[in-house]
Amino acid sequence: MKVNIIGISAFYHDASCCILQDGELIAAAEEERFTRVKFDPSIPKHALNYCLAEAGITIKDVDCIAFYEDPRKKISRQIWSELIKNDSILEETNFNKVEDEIRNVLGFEGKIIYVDHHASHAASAYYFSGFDNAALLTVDGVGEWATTTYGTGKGDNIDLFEEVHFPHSIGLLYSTITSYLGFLVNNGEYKVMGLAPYGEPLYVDNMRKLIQLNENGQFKLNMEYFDFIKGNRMYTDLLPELFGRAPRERESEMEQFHMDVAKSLQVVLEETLIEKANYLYEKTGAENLCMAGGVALNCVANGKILKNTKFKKLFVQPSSNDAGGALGAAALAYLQITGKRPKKERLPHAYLGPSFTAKEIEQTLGATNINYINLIGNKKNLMKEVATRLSDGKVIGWFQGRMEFGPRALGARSIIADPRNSEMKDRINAMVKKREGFRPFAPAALHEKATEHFDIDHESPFMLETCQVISKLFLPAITHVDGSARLQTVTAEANGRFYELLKAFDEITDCPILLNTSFNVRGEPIVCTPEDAIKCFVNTDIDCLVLGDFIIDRNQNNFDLLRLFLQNDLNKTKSGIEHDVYTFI
Amino acid sequence: MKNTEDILKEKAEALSYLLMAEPKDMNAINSLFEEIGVSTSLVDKGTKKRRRNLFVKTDTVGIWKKKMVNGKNVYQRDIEKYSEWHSWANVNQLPEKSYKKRVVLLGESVARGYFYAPKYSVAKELEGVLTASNEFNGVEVIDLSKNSLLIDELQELTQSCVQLKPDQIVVFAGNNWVHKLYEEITAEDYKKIAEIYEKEGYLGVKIYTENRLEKIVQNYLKVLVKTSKIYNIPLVIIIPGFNLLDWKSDDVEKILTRLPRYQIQEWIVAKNDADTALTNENLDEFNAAAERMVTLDPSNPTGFEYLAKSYIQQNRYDAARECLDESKDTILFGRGISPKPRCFRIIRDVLIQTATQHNIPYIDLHKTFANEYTNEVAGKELYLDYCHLSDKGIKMVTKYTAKSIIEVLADKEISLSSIPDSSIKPSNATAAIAHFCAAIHNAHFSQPKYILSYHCQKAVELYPEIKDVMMQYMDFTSRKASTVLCDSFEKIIVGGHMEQYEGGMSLIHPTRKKLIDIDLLDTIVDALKSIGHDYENELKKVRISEHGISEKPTDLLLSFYKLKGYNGYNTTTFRNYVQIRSNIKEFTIVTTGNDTLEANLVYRIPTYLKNGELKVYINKKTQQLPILPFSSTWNVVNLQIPSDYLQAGVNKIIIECPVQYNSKQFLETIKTETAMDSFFPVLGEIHAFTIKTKS
Repeated sequence: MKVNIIGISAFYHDASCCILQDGELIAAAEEERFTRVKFDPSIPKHALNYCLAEAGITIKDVDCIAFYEDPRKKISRQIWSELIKNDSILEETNFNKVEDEIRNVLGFEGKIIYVDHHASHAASAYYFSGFDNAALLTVDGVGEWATTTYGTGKGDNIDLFEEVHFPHSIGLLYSTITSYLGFLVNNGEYKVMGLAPYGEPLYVDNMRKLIQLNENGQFKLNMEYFDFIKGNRMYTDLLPELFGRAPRERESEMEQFHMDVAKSLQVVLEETLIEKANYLYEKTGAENLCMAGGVALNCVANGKILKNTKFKKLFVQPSSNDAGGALGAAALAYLQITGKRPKKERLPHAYLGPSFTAKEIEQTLGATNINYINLIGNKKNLMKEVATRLSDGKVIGWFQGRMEFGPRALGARSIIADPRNSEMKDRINAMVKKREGFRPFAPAALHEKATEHFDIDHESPFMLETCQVISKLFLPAITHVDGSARLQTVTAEANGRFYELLKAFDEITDCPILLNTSFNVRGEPIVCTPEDAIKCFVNTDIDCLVLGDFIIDRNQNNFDLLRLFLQNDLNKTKSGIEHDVYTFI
Repeated sequence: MKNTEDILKEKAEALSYLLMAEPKDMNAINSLFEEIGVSTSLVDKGTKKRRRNLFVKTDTVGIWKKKMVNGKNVYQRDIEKYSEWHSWANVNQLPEKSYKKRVVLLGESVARGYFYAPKYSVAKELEGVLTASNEFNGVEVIDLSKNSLLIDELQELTQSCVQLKPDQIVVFAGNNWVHKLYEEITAEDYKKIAEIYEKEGYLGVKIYTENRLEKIVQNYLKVLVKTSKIYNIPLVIIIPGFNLLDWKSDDVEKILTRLPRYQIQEWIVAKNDADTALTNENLDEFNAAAERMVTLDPSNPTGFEYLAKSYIQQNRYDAARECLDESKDTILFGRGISPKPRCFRIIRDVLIQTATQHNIPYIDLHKTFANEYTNEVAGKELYLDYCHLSDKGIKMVTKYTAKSIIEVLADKEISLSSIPDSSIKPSNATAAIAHFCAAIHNAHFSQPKYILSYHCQKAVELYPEIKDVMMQYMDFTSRKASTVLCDSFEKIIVGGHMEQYEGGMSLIHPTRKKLIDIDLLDTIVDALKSIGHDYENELKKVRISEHGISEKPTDLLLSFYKLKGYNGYNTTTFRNYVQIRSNIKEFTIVTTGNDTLEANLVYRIPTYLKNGELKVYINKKTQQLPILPFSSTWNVVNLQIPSDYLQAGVNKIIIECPVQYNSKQFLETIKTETAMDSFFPVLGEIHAFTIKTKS
């Protein structure tokens, strides 16, 4: 009998589900991909059904569901924050929602294990890092009480030896400035990171007034500037006073001031993380560092940590946000049940979601009036055709194999293009992403040729680090204003098709690099199914869609009507969470 | 020494334990909250609810906005409300008031002439009749009806329509008013309902909900009457009727109720007796069994529908109408999540009472149609579905309405027979499309095959060219792909044929609810055969290629296979498994008929049914698979389905659930989330159900 552990993250943002079978990660996916509700926080019933099907089991075969935080501890923090009040709805409020939904919505009858939020984060990094000995650093907004933890992973076990407690939170500091800069909380943080290189660190001193670094791993936020405790807004009126400017209105013009604030924040974040990482190194003596939590998605900071501390290796798992907490919870539950850690090998790839057969794709296309080229059984030609289109400047929706787990598209549900084209960034923004012009696109490169073009000496399969572009090629579409890029290195083992495409493109152009961005439009989750991909393709101006073995060229089709239908379709997507404040509840 | 913050955290932790305990010790909780000193400010639940802004704009009427064009004040369609346009009359501009008598028609989809609009409508017909009457030196009817108009919107429209300076307001609404009741009902109400049920049974619950509904209606009528009086605009009220004979309650609306003691078994016995008596054409026994069903469970429409059938066979039409009217109102018990619109008796009564009190002429379609059809119960001839009228029904209603308007505006008495017919009528193509849309709509709400067949047949008879539309419909319906992506759907829309069905967009299925419309497509095939086209094999081929069971497991919990219609049990908890609340649940499979199949089923039976078991049949009761024994926890079974149980094409897997529970035991063993769940017990649950060809 196999041991089947389901990991779940939910009720915050980024709900997700994963399955560990005999310690092997079989599948993982975010709920939003199935419901098409961005950041869907609800219990991941669709993702669970997918995981069960992928593992070929039923709910009866599940030994345990591991939930990625402790609801009771979280309630105590919410009481402390006055988010839970002694009001008229208290008696009716269901404080056992997590267990009730696992029982009633998912129908699970077995054992439930609650794992602390930051333990889930730490485990999600350590147990999938391939390390046998590592220091652990988790940093996010808030879990139960902890906002930052320090620990070690040795052999099968992890030990978190120090915590920083709410409300003192680096994640919430970042989210607060995100809100001040006119972006959506829980969504715009990575935009602030992208904005920073355009600015000068003119407000570093002001920023330092917001956070006081204390002994060991401790720090404190200066709470007179923050108002997030009660969950109504992120900052007090003193924050705009501190920076001498009113908060930026959403969607209003981006000024140099905003860029300077973003840069100052990034600098303070980096110095804080570096100081605390150094402390962690001194304390643990480990050469390997595992990071997780939403802040670990700040790939710029990650790169700096590795460069400015004595740590030799860094592992950040591809879904280091709350969605990834499901992995850690499952890993710790597996340890608790079997006494063993999950399989020790480093997470080889993030392709843990659903895939679709050529027959299924053909069946979908067959129902439509879309003109397409069928290249089943002709992979070489497929790669050549796609690479040629890319070299001709086409922007391509690339849908292959299993969907990625985590917020980054890594060549399974990606929009790809030629990075050498100086107009490409604006083109993609205009035709599909509709996002802020300052945000850079990321490169994917053949692993074996990456070092020729980027200042990096190790694999970066999950696009979670930045490095400097050193290429002789002119790569304007993926090079940020400061000469950096958020690189994904691609191996044949991890993603054969994407690797072959990069090779085919390299053969035609002598450029083993492609621009790679997520396959979605602004405000929608990344596509999951062939239908999602077709709808996204039709609703945008992407030149070509490659669905498995099938190529659909826009210039061979007229989508005017279909686009009209889709725009009138009542089943539209929306966001599943509140963006004005952090999702504390 | 601990600091204040640590103490506070400790207390918060202690409180968290208390809050998660069941039942909650409120004294201890209150005292700890006081110690913590956390705010005890009471949050009024009512303020949490989002309320509709009832402020009435003075430059807008529905989707039309005031504008000066060529020196005239007109109301033009507001482009910002483009997404709503298809729900209203297809009129770009409402002209300035002229010498013509102006009648404004307010109402819901029934007032629009749903299935005919925009090509033919109640407003057009009414204007046609009034013009033909020659009683006015010019008359116009401004169509302010809207699909799915809710009572708050109607109130807003009632107040804003005076900007158009009407001489007469006609209100033809009441079908959608129950939605406000559903919206307003709180957890507190559910508690109250549960208490009432324990003391007074379902009749008590009905009175409670009707009283709530009555208040909602009265509030609107106050505004209506006040507006009429302030602006001195006379009113005519049309009270919608219901397709008593030919609109049947669906499976969801008939799910089994918890009855005292073992009465649910008695009800099942009575139903079986009634079915047997009907087969044997034993009317007395049928009548007696139907009466028993109604007595045992007045919340379930089945008994009323049976009894009405019996009364019809006895030519007791008034009694039959009475029964069917009761049956119609049983949706007040709220089994279904998307109950179809209807005008409840309590709404009708309040409308009549108010109209009488204020001397407002009214046309009560329930009574009017009964008077017109004394020797039968009106059904499909007058209605295309539950409430939307056929062209014949529209013509009848508008004649009565015209009579009232003429009497008020021309200040003269006039007999119905002296009012001439209008010169307009829907073309054959329009009427055929209306019937076809009706067939689709009926099918999507699980109506019986005979009514689908009636509408399909009518459609092909009126307009044989409808064949192409029907074939396109069959194609996209049989596909797994979303309707919106299908080529055949696009062709239908481009052809413009489905303009009468909300521009065709009503053909797009809701998320995860695509149906394969087995009965409907079969009746379309039959209808097409009757005009010389045989598509039976073609349909079978598409079905097998899209849905045929293969070596890869097919998930029978997908909408294609588990749903017959869009309605579902009324719950806010959307589970990832199926709960069965009827004694029978059917799944559809499509096979070549040549292979033995292998099904995997994960099921459980609630503990209060501890002597129960699931029975599984293929297509008919004589083809039974091994019994699935009682299991209160998930049980995985593998079932072999012999090929000789199967036919090429569509097959049914029928699961029969046990019902032998004691009501008291049920309440003792089950933790229900809402009063609803305690009224309608679960009889079986399925977590996974896959099927494949045997390897």
